[in-house]
Amino acid sequence: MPALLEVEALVVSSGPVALVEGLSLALHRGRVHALVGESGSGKTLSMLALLGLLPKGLSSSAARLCVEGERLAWGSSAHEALRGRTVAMMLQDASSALDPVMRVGRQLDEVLAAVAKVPPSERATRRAALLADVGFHEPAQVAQRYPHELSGGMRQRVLLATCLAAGPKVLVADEPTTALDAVLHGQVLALLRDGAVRSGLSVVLITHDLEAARAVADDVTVLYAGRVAEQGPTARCLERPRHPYTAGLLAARPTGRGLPVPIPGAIPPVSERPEGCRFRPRCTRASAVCEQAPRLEGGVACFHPLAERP
Amino acid sequence: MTFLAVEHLSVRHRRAVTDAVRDVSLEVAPGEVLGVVGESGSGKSTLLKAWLSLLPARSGLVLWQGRPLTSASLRAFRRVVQPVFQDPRAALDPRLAVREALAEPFQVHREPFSEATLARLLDEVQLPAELLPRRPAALSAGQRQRVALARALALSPRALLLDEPVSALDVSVQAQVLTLLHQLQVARGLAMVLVSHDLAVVRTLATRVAVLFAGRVVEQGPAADVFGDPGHPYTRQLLAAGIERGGDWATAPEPGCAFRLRCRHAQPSCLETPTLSGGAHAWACPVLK
Repeated sequence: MPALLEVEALVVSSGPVALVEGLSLALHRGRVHALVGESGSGKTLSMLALLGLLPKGLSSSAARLCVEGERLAWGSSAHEALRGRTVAMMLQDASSALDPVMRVGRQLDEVLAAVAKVPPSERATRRAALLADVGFHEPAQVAQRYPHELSGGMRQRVLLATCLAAGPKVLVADEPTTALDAVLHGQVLALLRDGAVRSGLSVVLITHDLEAARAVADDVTVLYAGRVAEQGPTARCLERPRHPYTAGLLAARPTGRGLPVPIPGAIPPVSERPEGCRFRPRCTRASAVCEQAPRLEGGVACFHPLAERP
Repeated sequence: MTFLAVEHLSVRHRRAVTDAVRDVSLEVAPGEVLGVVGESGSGKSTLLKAWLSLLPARSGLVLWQGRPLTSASLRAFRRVVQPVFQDPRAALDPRLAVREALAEPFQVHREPFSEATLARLLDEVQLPAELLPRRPAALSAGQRQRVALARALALSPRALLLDEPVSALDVSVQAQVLTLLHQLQVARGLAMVLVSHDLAVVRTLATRVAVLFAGRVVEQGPAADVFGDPGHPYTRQLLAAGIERGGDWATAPEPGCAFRLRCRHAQPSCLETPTLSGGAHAWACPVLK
């Protein structure tokens, strides 16, 4: 089946400096794609670029953008028109994304009216269905509430409902669980997974949390300092990682069984990104050849990938 | 003799109508790491601030070396019981170079120090002395947290009270700081109280664990027991919280178990506030005893 949305060789730059280089993604219906990386890896920037929401001073380009088989010129009005309707983005901070002085129901109605063009007579039903979809047992009551009357997890779910109200085909969720604790964390991830499975939504999960990616994603892209380190099905990338950075990240995650194994060094700031493989200074496998930039081949960008265990 | 403890501590925020921390009694011994876990809003950070005497208690005591903390003993207490907070950006004055930030505790407590003392402190948190003239803005997040830690270590404290010390750090850096905390704790025989919503982080360092729900300790015991064989329904849910669906989480009003609306074991007896029962590993549930 062709991808729902494909982007090839996405570049995000600040003047002459490339912040994200050559990210290619194929998003499929009913699948969750996790964009994993630490701070400064470019995961949020690349999605903001896809939605045409880059902050001032940053620019983007891509070799190809294809939506449902149709090719769109990058930056064209057709590309711009994707935002909200075809591709919706759920921002990290639910409390600032919702209007504090408007009841939850009215916020949903606004989207239903303005974007999804749902006639007034059907809005109440759609609204209740959306709130039920995100796990509220009593949608009518929640619709009457103001955001400050809801817990963090409830707000996050309301925000998800407003994103879904527009009937998008792709939902980008930016760190949807960072502000939540363990119990709610699982709930929100389950909702995203549900959305993908039940309604054929394509979900992009932006996260620094490998466990979250492992729990819900079908596909994974691991970014390091603006470039793809490893990409492929979750089962391969996170169970049998081949890039030393992916393997390092997995080992660095505390599990409670003994001490985690740190990756030496630190993520370089943009101005100090090394030539060649960006992970080279922190990598135990690095050699002279790593002074060249490795290409992404077979899902891994590394001259010395870890052997694939059988 | 009790080394460092809180007894029947209750804390209420200004203008609030209920207590954020309710009748909490906890203790930590030298060389021991007490982990405090719970969801957001459970009162973890408030408990830590009150334990540090940075927030007034509505009732209850902070005990230090067997005695209640008084205004007379507060200065000595502040010297040996040091906080480490989540956000080193907020803990470090942006205008002060690392050298000045590290010198400050010595100056405040009128202790002699030299450039070598400061360099040694940095070395202890595995940072090079070259960082001494830098300001926080010129450091990475991991480096800033290490500087905050070095500052907390300056006057040879006996205990560190840490609030989400690695939550703001990237995974690869988080592991470095956790390893460092473990090494320091062992080398200096420090007592630690570690508050975190991240169970894996607590599991990595803690020897004993207390689980907080709606301001109360609902379970406490040796880390291996609480994590391996949780007793309270809330702890069980917290540990099992992988990916599962739930309803509208709500906290029930007191009297009664605050967890009863979310609990599938709830019975009429849960309308009375349960107390902790058990030995070293205790939990507060009238149904699952």
